[in-house]
Formats: sequence, C-alpha cells, structure tokens
Amino acid sequence: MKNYLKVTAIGLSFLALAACKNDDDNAAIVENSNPVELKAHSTTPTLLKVSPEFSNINVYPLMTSEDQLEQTPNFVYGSMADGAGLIKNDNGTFTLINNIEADFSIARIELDETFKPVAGEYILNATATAATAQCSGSLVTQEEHGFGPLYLSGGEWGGASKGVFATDPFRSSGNASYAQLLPALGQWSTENAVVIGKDAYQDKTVVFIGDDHSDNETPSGQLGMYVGNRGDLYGGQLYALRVTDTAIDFEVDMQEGQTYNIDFVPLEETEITMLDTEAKTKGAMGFSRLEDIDWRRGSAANNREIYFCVTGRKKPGLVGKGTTYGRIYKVTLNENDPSGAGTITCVLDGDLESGKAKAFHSPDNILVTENYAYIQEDPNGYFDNADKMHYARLYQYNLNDGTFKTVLEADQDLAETQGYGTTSSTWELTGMIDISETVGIDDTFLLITQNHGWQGNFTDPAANPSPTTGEGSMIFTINGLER
Amino acid sequence: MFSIYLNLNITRTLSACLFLVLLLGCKQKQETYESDPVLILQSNYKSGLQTCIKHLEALEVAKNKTQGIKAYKLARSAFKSLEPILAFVDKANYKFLNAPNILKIEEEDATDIKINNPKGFQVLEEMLFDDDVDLETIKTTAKATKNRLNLVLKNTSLKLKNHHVIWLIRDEIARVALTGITGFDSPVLENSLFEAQIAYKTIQDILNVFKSNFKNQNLVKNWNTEIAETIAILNADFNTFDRYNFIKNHTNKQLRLLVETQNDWSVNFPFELAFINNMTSLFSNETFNLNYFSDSNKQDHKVVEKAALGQLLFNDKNLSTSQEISCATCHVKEKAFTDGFKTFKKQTRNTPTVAYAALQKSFFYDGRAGSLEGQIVSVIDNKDEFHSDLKTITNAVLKNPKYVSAFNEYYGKISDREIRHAIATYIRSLNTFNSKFDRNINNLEQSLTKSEINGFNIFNGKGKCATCHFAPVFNGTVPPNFTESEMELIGVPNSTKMKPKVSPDLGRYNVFNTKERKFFFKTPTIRNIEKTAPYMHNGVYNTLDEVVVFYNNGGGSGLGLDLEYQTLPSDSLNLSNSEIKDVVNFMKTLNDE
Repeated sequence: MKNYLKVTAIGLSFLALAACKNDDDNAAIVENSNPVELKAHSTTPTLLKVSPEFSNINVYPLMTSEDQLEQTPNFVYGSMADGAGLIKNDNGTFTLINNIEADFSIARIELDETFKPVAGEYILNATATAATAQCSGSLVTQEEHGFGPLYLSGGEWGGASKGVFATDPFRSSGNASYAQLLPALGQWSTENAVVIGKDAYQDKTVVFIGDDHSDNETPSGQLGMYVGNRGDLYGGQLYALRVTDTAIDFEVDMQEGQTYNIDFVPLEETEITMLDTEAKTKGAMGFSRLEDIDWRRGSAANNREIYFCVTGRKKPGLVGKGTTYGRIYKVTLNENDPSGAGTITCVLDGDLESGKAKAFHSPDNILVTENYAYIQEDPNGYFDNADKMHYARLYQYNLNDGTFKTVLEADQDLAETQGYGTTSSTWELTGMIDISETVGIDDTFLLITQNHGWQGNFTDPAANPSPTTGEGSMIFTINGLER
Repeated sequence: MFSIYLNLNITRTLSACLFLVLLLGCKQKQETYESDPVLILQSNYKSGLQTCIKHLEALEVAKNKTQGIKAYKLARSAFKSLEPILAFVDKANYKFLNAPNILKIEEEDATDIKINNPKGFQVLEEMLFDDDVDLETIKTTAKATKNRLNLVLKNTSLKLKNHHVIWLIRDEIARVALTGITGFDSPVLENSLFEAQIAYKTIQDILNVFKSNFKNQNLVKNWNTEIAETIAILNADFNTFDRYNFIKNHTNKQLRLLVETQNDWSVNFPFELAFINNMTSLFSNETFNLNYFSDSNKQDHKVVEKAALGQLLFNDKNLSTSQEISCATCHVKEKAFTDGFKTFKKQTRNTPTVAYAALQKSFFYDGRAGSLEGQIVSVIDNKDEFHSDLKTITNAVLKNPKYVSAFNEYYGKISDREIRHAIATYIRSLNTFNSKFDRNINNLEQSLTKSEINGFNIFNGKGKCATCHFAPVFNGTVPPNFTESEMELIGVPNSTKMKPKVSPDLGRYNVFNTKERKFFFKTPTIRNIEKTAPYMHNGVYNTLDEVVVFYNNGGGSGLGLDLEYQTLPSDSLNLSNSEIKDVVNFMKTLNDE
C-alpha cells in the first residue's frame, strides 16, 4: 500500500488546483506526506470474493448500515446506497455525496484526513424529493467539467418526478427547500445524468442521460444527450441517439464488435410520454433498459468516447429486438459537433452463448478510466444457464485490447452464514468511482453494494420517517485495480 | 455560491440565464407578462398549485373529520382546476396525485418488485369518509401529497407550443367523457360531474388566454356557447345523468370544434400520440393512431397488404407442428374471434377475442406479454398450443413460395420478426368501430332503444362498470394516454353452485409470485360480447345476466369469498332487475357488423 503513496499537486485539493495550474512542472512528488490511510473502518466484514487473478488488490469495508459514526451516532447509512461523488476539502478532509435510493434521499458523509468516515447527514431528504428515488449520481467539478461543483442524480421511481435532479453538495442539511430538477434535460426514467469531460468540446457542456425505460414490447431506453454552452444546464438543446445505418431496426441487429453510424436527433418535448413518442417517431434507437453511462478519461478524443450499460430484459415481446442479459456499447462522438455523425459499437454482448461476456447477468453500472471499463451487475434473476448462475459481479474490460476479466463477486454464501441477508435475494453492485486523484493514492476506488435482503430497519428517520425497505448498504474502498 | 439555484420564478427571465456562471454571457431575453399567453397560463397554473398546497396544509392540521372534509374538498377542487394542464405537462405526477386507493405495485422484474402505499387525493377521500377516521394517517398522506405538489411547483416552467395547447384540451375533453363522468376518480363523494364542470372552466380559461390565436372569431363564440352549455348540463345528479347524449352531443362536438381550432391556428403537429390528431369522434376507426400501439411510432408502409398477409398466416394450419391448428382454431371469426368453450382443450383460460386486442398495453389475462408480436411467441412456444418455435415457424413460411414473395415485396426480408409483425398487423386491422352503438353515438343512425341508452348510462355511471372497462374500447387500457392496461381482482368463483370457492387460477401472481397480486386478471374488452360466451377467465358464466348479477352483488365478496385485495367494491351496486336488463341490452349493441 505504501507504494501507492504518491501525492501530486493535483491531488491536494480541488480548490487549490486553480492556483497551482501553472505549477505542474514543479509538482514534485511528495513522498509519505499523505495522511490518507486506506483501511477497514467498518465493523462489517468484507463480503466480496476477489478472483484469484486479482489477488493483489485490497478491499476494505469503509462503512455500512450497521456502523455508528463517531460524530453523528444517530446517522444511519441507509437503504440502497447508489450513485456517489467524492470531494477533497481545503482542510484535507473529504466529503462523500451519496444517493440513498430507497430512502429517497441524498447523504453527505464527512471523512477525516485519514479517510475515515466520521460524520453523516442528509442534505436532501424524502420530503425535499417528494419521495423520489435517487438512482445513479455523478459529481460535476471545475477540474473535470469546467464548472461546478454540482451533484446530478437520476430521479427514477417511487415519486414520479422522473428527471435529473441537481443538488449543491454543500447544501445545508437543515435546508427545507424542495429539490431542484433540470427541466431542459427532459423527463426520462432517469438512471443517471453524466457530464462528459471538458476537453471533449471547447466551449460546450455535454450531458448524457440514461433512460432506464423498461418496455415489454419495444426496447425503449434511449440515450439522451443535452448540449449547452459551458456550464449552462437550462438553455441548451436535447437530443437522442439514432443509428443511421438503415439495416438496423433494433439494438440486437447490431453485432458485437461491429461499428455502425449514428447521429443525434433534436427533441423538442420534455414530458416523459411525449418525449418518448417524439423520440420513437424520429427514429431514436431504443435499448432494453439503458442504465449507467461514463466517458473515457485522458485526451480530448478519449473524452468523446462514451460507454453505457444496457441491463437487458427477458420478455417474449423483446425477442429479436432487445438484449436479454445485457450489453455494453461504445459511442464515439463527432469531433466537432456532439450531435453530428459518429459511431456506435456493441463492445460486449451478454446474449452470445460463447462470447467473452457470456457471464453477463444484467450489467447495470459502469465506470470508465483511461484504459479500463469497470462493469457492475444488478442481476435481474435470469439464472438460465451455468454462465448466469452467479451473484453480482464486477468485471474489468480493457479498452485497448478487449481483455475481459471478473474482478470480484458478491459473496452472498458467506454473507448468509454471517447473518447478512439470504442467498435468495441478490445484491446489486453499484456506485463505483475512481478516487485515486482525490485521495492521492493511485488505483483507488469506491464500490457500493445494495444488500437486498439484509434487513435491519436501516433507514435514518432524518432521511425518511416512513421507511420502505429498511435493507442495508455497504461501501468499500478498493486499491490496486489498474486505471 | 449555490444561491444560483434560483427557482424559475416571477422574474420572467428565461431560464437559460439562471446559471450564475453564465449570467454575464447570457442574453437576457425579456418577455413581457401581458403578451405571452404561456407565461400568463404559467402564472395562473402556479397560483393554482399554491392554492391547492394551502388547502392540503389546512387538511394536515385538521382537528376533526368535518374540518378535514372541508379542507379536502377545497384542495380537490383546486386540483381538478389544475388537471387539464397538470395531467398533460406532468403525466407521471398527475397519476401519482390521483392514484386509486389500492396498493401501488411496480413489478419491474422478478428481482425488482416495489410495493408502496398509494398517496394522493383519492386515498384522502376514502380515508376521510372511513367510519373510523384516522387523522394521523390522513396527515401523513396529505403531507406526501403536498410535498409532491411543492416539488412540481418549484420545478414548473411551461413551454407550451400551440400543438400542446390543442393536445391538452383534447386530452381533457376525452378524460372527462371516458373516465371523469364515470366516477372513476371520485370513489366516495361521486362528485365527478361537479369536477367535470371545474375542468371545463379551466378549458375555457385556457382558450381565453390564447384568444389572440384565433383568426375566426365565430369559433371563439362557438366555444363559449358550447362550454357554457356543457357546464350547465353537467350540473346534474350523478345517477341520472345522461352520459350517452353528453358524449354524442357535446364531447364529439367539442372534438370537431378542436379540429376547426387547430386549422384556424394553423397548428403543425410534429407527431401523433394515441389519438389521431384530426380525431372528431371517440368511437371511430379513425380515433386511434395504431402506430402508437405497435412496434414503433414510425410511419408504416403497405399496412393493408401486410394485414392481408397476416390474415393468411393467422388461418394457416401448416405453421403448427401438428399441422392441425392455426390461430383461427381458437379465434373463430364468427364468434368474434373466440371459440365458445369454457376453456379450449388443454388450455387453462377462456379464449379471449382478438378484435380490439391491439388497443391494449399488455396481453394475456395475466398481462405477461407487452405486445401482440410478443404474445405470439408464447402461443408458438406453448406445448398445448402451437408446440413449436420461431425457427420452425419461419421454415414453414419459407416453404410457401407465395409467402416468400409477399414478404420480400412488403418487408424486403423474412424472419420470425416480420412473420409476427404481419400477424399483428392483421390483428390491428380488426378494430372496426361499426357496431350499432358506434353508429348511433356518431349520429349516423338513431336506432338505439331507450333501454339500450339507459344501459350505457348505467354502465358508465351507477353501475361503475366503466371505471374499469373504459369507453370507447371498454377494456382496461386507461384513457386518454393509453399507456397501461389495468388488472383487477374481482373474485370470479370456480362454479355457479351455492357457496362456491374462488377460481383457483392465481392469475397475475404466476408471473412474478407477488402475493398481493393473487387472482388479478387484466380487464378485457366487452365489445362483441354477445358473441363471446361463456364469460370470465374460466368461462364460469354462460349468460351476460349472470355476469351483471355477479357484479351487482359485489363480486367475490358478495359470494362470501374472503379476498383482501379485491378491487371491485364489495357492496351491492343496487341495480334493479330492469337496470340489469338495460346494461345487458346495451352490451349487445356492441357487435361489429
């Protein structure tokens, strides 16, 4: 672990960055001065089973629903934790913003300078969201996106306010005002809204929206795109992805490894039914539940490379139209105009019986670094053959050479023996973010599990006075995975 | 720095400028309040939301039932005056706010089933009129309802173009006629006719706000007269209101006025929703945009030819493995595409009609399929039906040169997808809307008897039949958006003998094993019902009289069956024998020619 103790100026602080911009050449590596110490801080054991070929990585339970934080003993890390973003504060401490999906709220967790969670509170509770589940989330920062900080989250179920929520990460927990949505980004069954890197386009902010629309007849999850001037999330134009190759009527017409032409059609509607109908009328491509999205880190060209998960759905009406077990797509955007001609490639197809992703059982969340995509599953219960007979997995996909490996799997057999839920209720892996630069330790990530079936009335009354599931969540620090 | 999250408020500055970072570079496009009808409408709408919230706050602190009911009624009236706009610009939230008082079950997939208590106005109405009023629960429900309205208020920014204004008025006209006046969403108070008047007042206000759009001032006059008359007529008793003549003389007239209006305003519709943009009757084969109910909303080509090809396939026994059955074996045209059996041999459920089946969002009695094309896969795979698979069917089609050339001509290719599409296209062609009832309500003939008209009025009023079997298709697909087909638990017995048991078929439960969904079945159409005996999913009743008596007595509960989640009111409908006869007579007017 000590080998990873390299702190560059970039890692010191977001705010300091502006001041240090011109000092990159002088950004000497400061050995051993990073107070961050990655280790287990939870009383819960690690309930993830790492594959032998990743035996070099370290997994630490950082915090779970059964932990008490020292400064806020009444805070409960609630039910179905999902999207997250990490900020480094000026004083060296850290702030984690984390959706607590089933409690219809967003939590803010403070970690001290050693990266130990010490306090938690709810900055958006079920009243403020009018009981709308916040699914995946993404943090927008000056450094990566050219504006912010701002936390975007997808309003998906429960409350019917389907759309993109925008929250100030430093909003006071006593703030009684209602949540803010971004109407110009449209109403979708929003899984996530992701602003791509600022280098992708010189003066534009481009946001992708994952539409987790599940339809039993026609794959109807669209890839929404919003384009505005830099930092403008109100006055821009909405689009949806369209495959322009005439032979492609449905997503499964696209073969793994083949590249097809696309563009983005402008959309004028924002209400969910009309937006969907308009998109279909204009020939937008529908996917069988489009979930999480991410973009490749690195060069400007990398920033224009978008990856997304289609989790899949098994219904007779979707045969020959939508993926069953899930797919990963890559979209390469037009260099000059985000809505212009680009390409799409299905890079991993879980329906191919002997394909490299034959183990796919509902890939749901995705994190993309410079060289890898990390794909997290939320099994839909399609245990149809030996390849699908597993708990939720984390996969590593090498963007350069296509190598595909299983990193780890939820260890629900062990969990059951230790009293953490039952094997009949499968967990979801989610919320993985790369925190290497924020904590100043290379190859460091956060990963969350939604521990369905782990019952313990894990809902903080400050988040939601009338809990829905009460199931627990866990967040892990992982170190040693390549970026 | 996060004061930048300003509400979209009365500054009348377009929202593009809200982001502080951009303020300097942003063009401050000012719109004057007086000149932009959309801003006037938005201002009215927001103050309506505030009024509604205020009354819900009063309900939260009500100290007794009387205070609670008073606050509720004011809040409900405010909600209904918002309905034409809210139900259009925010369909999902409208649905939440107006949800029936039954468990909200979202069955996403086997591992993702969410069951929540409903919130909103109908729930409050039932709670307030309960024998034991529970003020604490009412308070919680009122608060959840208020929170949602607050979230809507904070995030509202109306961006209505002219075609939206036409659509939202049309939706409201259809909503009043097809659900509102049936008592669909006023379960206890039966205040539906009063609420319809409120909705029409809002329509009037909207037309008023957009009066500068009218070139033809006569049209404005016609609207004013028509809405005034409509409101006057709606000032009536719920049980005796003449719904037939209301729809015939007013709803359809308003739809014609609306088409005149869209022509007068030179409205360009960018696409079609469930209703055809030029619809002038709710009961016509030109009412529905079939693309909306099909694979894609893209314009299809050679629809007539594809339907004819589908008809050949529908009747072709060579497609089954035994070469002994075709779709038409069970779906016999003369019997309105049913077979006359309680259940066909080896089948567990009564064969449903396929006429009007296209106008649904889920298929099979348990709603397990989501499309015509999809349900065909299940029929093909079923070992007691086609006992085949998609590959075998495709090969059978490929053996017939006539099919091959037809598919090549109409589709340019042949796979199971095109085969299923052709059959589905045939089924989509079976919605003819030419029954005696349709001809009468469209004013093409005047041949309905007094009993038949009275029957329609009871079906859509006192009998509550139309709170599940919505006109004009009389199935469970909810107007005016037609995005879902509802399921109900009515408690169908296993026999007509004394002291029956509930039919053992668990219905929807079998799809995801959700215990709250035991005995739930999709609401089928009653069009052509005279020809589709016997009735119910198990064919337990041979006559329509038996069916109506079953409902009149409170369904399963009336037979003494203990069904916790029965959605049919368990008390008697108090229909007299002659009223029962009228309902049956009405249903028999729904046979297609």
